[in-house]
Amino acid sequence: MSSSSVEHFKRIESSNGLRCTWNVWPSSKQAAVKLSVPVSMLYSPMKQISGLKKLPYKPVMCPRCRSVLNPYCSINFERKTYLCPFCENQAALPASYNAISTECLPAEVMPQFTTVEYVRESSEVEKTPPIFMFVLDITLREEQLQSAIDGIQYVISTLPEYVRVGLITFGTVVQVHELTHDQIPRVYMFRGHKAFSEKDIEDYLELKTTNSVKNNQKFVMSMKDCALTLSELLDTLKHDPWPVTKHKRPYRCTGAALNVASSVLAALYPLSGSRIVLITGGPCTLGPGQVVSTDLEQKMRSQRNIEKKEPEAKLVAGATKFYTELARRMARSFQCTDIFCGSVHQCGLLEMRPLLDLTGGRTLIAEACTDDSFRFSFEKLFEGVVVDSSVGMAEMAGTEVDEPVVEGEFKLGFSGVVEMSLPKDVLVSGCIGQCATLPVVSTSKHMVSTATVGQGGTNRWRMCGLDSESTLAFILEVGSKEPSMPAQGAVKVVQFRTVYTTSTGDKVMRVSTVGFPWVDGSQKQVIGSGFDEDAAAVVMSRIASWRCDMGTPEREVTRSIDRTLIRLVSLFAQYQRGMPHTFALTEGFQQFPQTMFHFRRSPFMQTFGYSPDEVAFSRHLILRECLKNSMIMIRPTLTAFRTDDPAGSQVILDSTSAKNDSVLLLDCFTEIIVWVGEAVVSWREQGIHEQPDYANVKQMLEQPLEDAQRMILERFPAPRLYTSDQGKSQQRRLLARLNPSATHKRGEAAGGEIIITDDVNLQKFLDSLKHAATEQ
Amino acid sequence: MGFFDWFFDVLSFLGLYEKKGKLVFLGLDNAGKTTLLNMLVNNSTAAIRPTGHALEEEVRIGRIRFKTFDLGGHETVREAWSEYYFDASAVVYLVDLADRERIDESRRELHKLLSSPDLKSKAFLILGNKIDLAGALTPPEAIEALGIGHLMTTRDPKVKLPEGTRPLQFYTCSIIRKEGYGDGFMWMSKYV
Repeated sequence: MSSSSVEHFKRIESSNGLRCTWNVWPSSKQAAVKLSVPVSMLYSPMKQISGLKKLPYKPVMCPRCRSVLNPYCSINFERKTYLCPFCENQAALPASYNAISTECLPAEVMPQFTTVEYVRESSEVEKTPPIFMFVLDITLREEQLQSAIDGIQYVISTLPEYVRVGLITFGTVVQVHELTHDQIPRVYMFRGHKAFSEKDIEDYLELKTTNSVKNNQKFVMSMKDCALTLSELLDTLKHDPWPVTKHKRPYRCTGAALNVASSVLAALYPLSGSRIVLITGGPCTLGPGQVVSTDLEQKMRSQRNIEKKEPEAKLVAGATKFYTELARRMARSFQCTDIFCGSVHQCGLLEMRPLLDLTGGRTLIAEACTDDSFRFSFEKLFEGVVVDSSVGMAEMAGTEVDEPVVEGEFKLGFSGVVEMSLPKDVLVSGCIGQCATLPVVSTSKHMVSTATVGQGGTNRWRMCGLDSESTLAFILEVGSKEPSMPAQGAVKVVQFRTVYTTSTGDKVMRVSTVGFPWVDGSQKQVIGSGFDEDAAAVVMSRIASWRCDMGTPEREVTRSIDRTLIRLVSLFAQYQRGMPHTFALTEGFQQFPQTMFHFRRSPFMQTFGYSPDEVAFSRHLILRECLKNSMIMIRPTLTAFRTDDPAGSQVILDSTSAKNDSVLLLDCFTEIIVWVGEAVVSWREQGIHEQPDYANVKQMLEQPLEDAQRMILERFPAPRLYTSDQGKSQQRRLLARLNPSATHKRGEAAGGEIIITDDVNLQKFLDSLKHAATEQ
Repeated sequence: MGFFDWFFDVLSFLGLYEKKGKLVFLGLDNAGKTTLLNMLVNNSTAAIRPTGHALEEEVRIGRIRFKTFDLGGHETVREAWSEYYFDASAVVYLVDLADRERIDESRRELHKLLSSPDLKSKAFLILGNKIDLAGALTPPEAIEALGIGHLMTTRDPKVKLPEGTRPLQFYTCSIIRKEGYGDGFMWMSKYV
């Protein structure tokens, strides 16, 4: 992509949270299909935008299609009407807009405010403060359980008074804890072997009894009313008393516990956004959602068991079905589930994944609850509950206020719904991301494609839990079937409307409206100039990952990536047919094949050496992260620190970069590796870095660790840091991700590390691509 | 007893019926456990990151079908090894012979396993890997460093071991060169 195009894409992203694979759209369907990378959009509805306009009034909605007044509406200042760019209806502006003129415009129609937020300050009664329901596994081993309890203790000490909380513990049975302080707190138990119905749970806990209002308020209470009780309760929590015999796993009724948590919340707060925060140390071994027996002779299902449909994998389907149904039920009440796994073994994340993907939950796999990555991630999630001061200021001033943006600030949203408006000849095939479909309303049916990808068949999706990094990928079908010549300067406009509740309990509607040039399909160059290779890589990765989730073998998906790549470059590269040496990629397409090469080799597609839970974890992440984070996962960032460049610069992800006189920092998003070359190791051992003349050596040893530390504090999940001297065990984490330009078979290249592998390297991959493309 | 049971009995009488076994691959991190598994299953080498969760594959050696469990070797996961080895038919223990610094650590872990009641009578195949690398320990050096000289039993399959003796052998190998480990597995298959 030319640098000016890249700037343009980044501008759209920073002011709207939107990136599109193609930023100039062909008017014919045939031409759009030929592009092979679908026209798709990556949209982050809660992205922190600097200078975001916050409007303290109600949005003006088109009476016919529900779209909101925006800069693409042409306004008739005489008649006080506007033309809706979606349904082409002339709608009257409300009376409050009577003063409108070319000199006096409301912010939402100004061209610089393509994204605005309508903030409705709720009254105390209307406010729906967020709810956190902790669901804690008490079969965790002693120091692990203590660490998990400490984690909860810490976060409840930071939560604002108005946030509501609840506590459920589980092991052999599910225990719902009362949080009232005026008497000895009682515990209500449910056997773990069964998924009780919502009605049973309601009745047993007397959640809906009319005679005692107090009764239904003892399980979920505001921090103001229960902080002390909850803290004392956590202090006295005991390990599950049920004995665990030799060669057995403990009874752990994770599914039943989540079912109770969801039912309690649905009965008490059917419409408030809530997060169910699960902390577990192993797989569910009892009751609904069981993934393995308590017998240790039965091992956790492996990739192989699942692929070959072996008996070891017999519980996968049933458990997945249970968690999927539970997730759908949770989504209906705007509940969201977060899953924190602290174990060296698999905890059954594969089966529980629908809980995350349909509700917007976050997850982490750590080796133990005592791990730094566990502790940091757990705390980070709750940092998203921030007191939003700017809204209060808006009320005082009575005018709109620009939101101050703190770089990298993490925020949580609750009860989100995203809706799209599309113009004629543009359809949505579906959404790949953390969301659940909502039924399409009859007035929007014409913008929904019958060919679905991901969560399709609608233009509305729920995002029960969302945060500043949540990103949805919308796959579009553009162009008309009949050839038509678009007018000069024609633009197609897309609108996203996201309604959500902030962590302070206020309702917000964010509206983003972006137009894309609409040109004749024959204008290849113009269309090519709008290609965003990073957005394309992320969308292709999401589609590939989604297809693997749907059961298509990785090998087949990899082949289809190759076909897409060949078709794309044969359309946009310069070459003479049948002459591979004449092949040259045009500007804007040069990084894409490399990025896809790294994706093909990434843990998303090469699953040997990964457990089903580990694969589920990484595929869950690529399904939800923003473009920047997704790119790190697809093509990790490698930074080299050298004596002449001790502050570090980015280098290519290649074995030749692993030089013995440098220190490398590899960022794979969930893992960070600091690698020290042999020469630097010897300097360090001689203490050269402590000598005043060698401040550069000191810096090249310290800088990467400082950079890593910053990432650990900023990111969710907190990445794990590994350090390795050249030749040591942990350097495999680095070598596994480098392009193997020098291998044990092909011998040494110009410096760098030799990688032991039979894999194809980038050069060979690009050569094959040239051959295949020029033969097309 | 149905027809099929009878049928399989006849097969096993003729020695055609495949035996089944469960193997665990143990050893320090970077000993080559997953590389060995990849070689046995996919016949290829790849740059693989250190193993996290346990990996399971199926491998045929001679007439025996093995379920193999490859476990991570770094310190935090070692305590979880017992969940996998208590019901194993044999242990394959890998040692990186080129890593002289950690040979002591490897010996300690090996002897912990050897003294486990769960593994009292189970066959141990100890593979000394990476002999292709310069500076690798020689077989006598390795046997000495690992302290297994007095525990080793015969390589001759015809010799019957006295009751209660644990079959234990040491073979050197280079997995990436596909050398050495085959003999080790053939030896071990006699004791499963």
